[in-house]
Amino acid sequence: MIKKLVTFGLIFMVLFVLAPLASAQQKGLDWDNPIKIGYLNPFTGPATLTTSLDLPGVRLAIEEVNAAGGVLGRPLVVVPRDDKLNPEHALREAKDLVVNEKVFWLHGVTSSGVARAVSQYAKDQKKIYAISVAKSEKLTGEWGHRYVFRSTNNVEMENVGIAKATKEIFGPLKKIYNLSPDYEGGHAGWRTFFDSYKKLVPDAILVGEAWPKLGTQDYTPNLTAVMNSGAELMFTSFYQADALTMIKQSIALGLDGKIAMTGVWWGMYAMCQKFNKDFYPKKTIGGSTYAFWAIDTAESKRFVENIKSKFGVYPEYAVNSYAFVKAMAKAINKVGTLDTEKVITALEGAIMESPVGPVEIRACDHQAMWPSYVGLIGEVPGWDFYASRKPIVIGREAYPTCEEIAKLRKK
Amino acid sequence: MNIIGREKLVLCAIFLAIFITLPFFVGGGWTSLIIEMFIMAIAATAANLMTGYGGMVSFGVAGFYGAGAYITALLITKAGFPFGVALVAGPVGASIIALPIGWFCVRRTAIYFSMLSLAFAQLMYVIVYTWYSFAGGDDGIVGIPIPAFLNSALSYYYFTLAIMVICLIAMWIIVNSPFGKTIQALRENQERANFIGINIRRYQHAIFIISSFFLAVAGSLYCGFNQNVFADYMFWTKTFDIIIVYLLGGIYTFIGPTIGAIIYILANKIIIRYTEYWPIILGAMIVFITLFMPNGMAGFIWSRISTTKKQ
Amino acid sequence: MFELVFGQIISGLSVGMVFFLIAVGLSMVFGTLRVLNVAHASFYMLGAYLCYTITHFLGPSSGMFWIALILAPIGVAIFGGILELLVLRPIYKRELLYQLILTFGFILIIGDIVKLTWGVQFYQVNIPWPLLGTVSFLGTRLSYYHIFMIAMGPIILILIWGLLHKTRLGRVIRAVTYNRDMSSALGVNVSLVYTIVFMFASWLAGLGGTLMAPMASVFLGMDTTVTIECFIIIVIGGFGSTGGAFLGAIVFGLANSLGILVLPKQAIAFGFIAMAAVLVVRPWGLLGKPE
Repeated sequence: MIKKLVTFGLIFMVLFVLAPLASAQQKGLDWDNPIKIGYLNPFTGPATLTTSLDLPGVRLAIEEVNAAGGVLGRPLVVVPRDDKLNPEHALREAKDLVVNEKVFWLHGVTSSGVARAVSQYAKDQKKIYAISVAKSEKLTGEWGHRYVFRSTNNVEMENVGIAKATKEIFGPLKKIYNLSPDYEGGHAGWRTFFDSYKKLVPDAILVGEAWPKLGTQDYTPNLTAVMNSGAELMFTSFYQADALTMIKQSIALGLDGKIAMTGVWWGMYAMCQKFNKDFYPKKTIGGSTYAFWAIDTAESKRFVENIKSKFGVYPEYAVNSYAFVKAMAKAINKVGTLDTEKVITALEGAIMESPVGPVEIRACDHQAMWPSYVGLIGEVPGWDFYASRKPIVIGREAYPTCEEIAKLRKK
Repeated sequence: MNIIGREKLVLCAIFLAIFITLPFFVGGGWTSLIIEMFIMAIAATAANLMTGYGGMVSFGVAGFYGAGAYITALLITKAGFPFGVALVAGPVGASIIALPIGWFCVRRTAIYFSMLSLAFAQLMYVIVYTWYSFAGGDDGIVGIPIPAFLNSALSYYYFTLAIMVICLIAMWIIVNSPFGKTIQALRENQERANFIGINIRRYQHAIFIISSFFLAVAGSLYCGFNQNVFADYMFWTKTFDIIIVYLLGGIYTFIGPTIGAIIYILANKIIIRYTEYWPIILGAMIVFITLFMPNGMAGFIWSRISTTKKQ
Repeated sequence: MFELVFGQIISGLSVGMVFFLIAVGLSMVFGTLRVLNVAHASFYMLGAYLCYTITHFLGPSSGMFWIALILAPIGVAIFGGILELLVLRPIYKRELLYQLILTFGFILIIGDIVKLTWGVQFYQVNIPWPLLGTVSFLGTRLSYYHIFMIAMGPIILILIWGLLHKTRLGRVIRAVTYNRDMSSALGVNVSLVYTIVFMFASWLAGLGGTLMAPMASVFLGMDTTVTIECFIIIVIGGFGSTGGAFLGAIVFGLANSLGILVLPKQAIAFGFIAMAAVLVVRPWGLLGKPE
């Protein structure tokens, strides 16, 4: 018995005490003095999937950066916190991360409302904040400033493509019903869609709209209102758990397939992983940030494999965060010190190497010029989920120009 | 000065001295934390005026706390008022709102009072939440400017400390005044009070308004501290935070809520450093204290001190 | 226009019935045990999660839903019983405030238990096979599952009524509700009755969660989406009244769904306005009894 305990104890020691020490020494990095990334995203609530498809990108990047010598001889480390999809909580965590954990930059956030609050805080504290999921165009537009970056694309450019795809696939439908969540992200989704769509179909009109709260469990009253409004197209900027609930209820009510639908973020893998032959929204267009199922490059495939084998999920925002964290590491190493101002200058105009090719961090608004992918939701050969088939790719021409941004910020 | 015993006065002076010198011994992170404790202490003591002293459990305290915050925020951002004016206008405005709401609420007792106060608070929440264009809805209002001399954690610390001291003194005077004694008598025996000819409703209405006033002070201070305001400041979960605080500390002493504020905020911040599962720990703490320390921590400590003194 | 209103009525009723299931348990616990259990909605959430686990136990299968419908609420009832025995008993004699805070602690604890067990992912339960699809009725489409949900309401109401008025146990429960001390003096095991009532209430909430799961998503925090609504319902209906909970749930469900037609953004205010109105005018609720 004693022998067993001793053996067990020795194994325990080796595994949990000596091994980390050994690996740390292997890398030769200063593990007592890491450089911290303050990561904020929802770990509870109806939008947790973006976190699980984003954080692995950060972790993978950190692994590779540390294996290559770290940043200024120090390892990168991520400190994840739950923002609960709520600005008050997010700010409390952000404050703790900046003041107590002394992170070098803040990274993350799914809700545009939360992102706005964190962005404001970062500006006050003069800390870099990289928005990794939140999509409102205003965050890098009229509310943008020196300290905020966005490591993913934004909804304005997404909707350029979505409006185009809607008209091409469904024809120039005129009567639209808008059912979107009542907060900045939801509003941004709708207004940028309608702006772009009206350019293509000038006599499009809004026959009705409703703005339920995020996390609403019952959309049937709204969906019946849609059914009876005479709308030809329903637009929604709801996403993840809420959208899945909406689709379920729409199928139950027989609305699904009857009218055309455009879900601005329904092409995201976060949602599509739940779609299959027996459950998917018919006659629906969705947008995605990284339609890896339709990207054939070796680089992209390798990245997808990497994330899948290490973290058990397919990437979505992970590809954006991965590229950004690596670009940050590169910028800090280039600058030579942890000087926020100098690092910002180094990041402006930097070209990130990503699994989908080179992507620029534009200097005038700190927006990463990622593409977007839009298509009709359906069967995707070779994969066991349904998603946007043969998506069209929208590139950087869909982003507002630097002149437009400057004009917005001047207001 | 016979409104406060000499022992207690000495204790207060000691604590005041500690708080004044504390920022020089602890880091910036702690300074922010203690500011939150001060603000919560004001809110919880104010809420306890109704509960511990008045015997009326309000589930709508967050409504007035949030009202203070929103009035201050809106006056600064939409009407360009200076911070000082907005800070005063917050509690004043909240008291005005408390006039009609309190009138209705005090006409009900026990759980009906609690539910009605909850309904009104949630209505205020809904108004603020749905008035997206004006009050920012779910996104709230961020980036509220405060005067430059208050723009550091240290200066806001002393500012909040000063206001907390003033508020606590004011509330102490109120509860120890004849008015305050009457309120406590009402809590004990409403029939007898009625018999003596006291207009119960009038007194309860008054303490409701006073409580709301100081709740709003806390809310306005919080708004200035974070330089933002969110609809959640009015949500029922905030009410429960405040109730937990004064229960933790003990509702039958004046200083109880303040102690509860210190414990609660400390526990919140410390636990989260070690585990993401702080709700279960906090929940367990709440259950433990409710079961085994019915008079809260302050009561518990006080009874321990009393027994040792008696020996 | 009629189809629109009718459609809204149907959807309002179906969700109302789920709310009834949750609210009636809360009302019974308050009426009999004199405890306001704010964590009641956590049982609802637990029921939904258990429903997910059972329907996916042998691989996703909507046929398993019927098994889940039976097992999940029982699981929640057992959990509720354990909670009552261990932690709730000591505070029966205490004031409302302490019960509230204790049960608020439960919300936190149960929430994290769910998080520890199921993680932060959100889950989907499919509508069970025989109830897929819709039927056309009076010009609008009704989903079979909605009809099922609406039907469950009166069925459970009759079940409860039958239990309370036609069985010996029901008589005992009503006696304890009416006068605890007298019942105890007459030899009734009041503690046992309390446990049974609490377990039954948990069973009802779990049933509500199980029923709701195929219609919505199962995620952390779904308990807070129904907590306040339940309070509104039992205030409107009357504390301790089963019929009141039923009526209140219908009023609430309809106010919500029809309110969306009139003032979509402010629809959530209607519940609170109704709640305040009832408390001001007739505090014991529509079907409650003045104390």
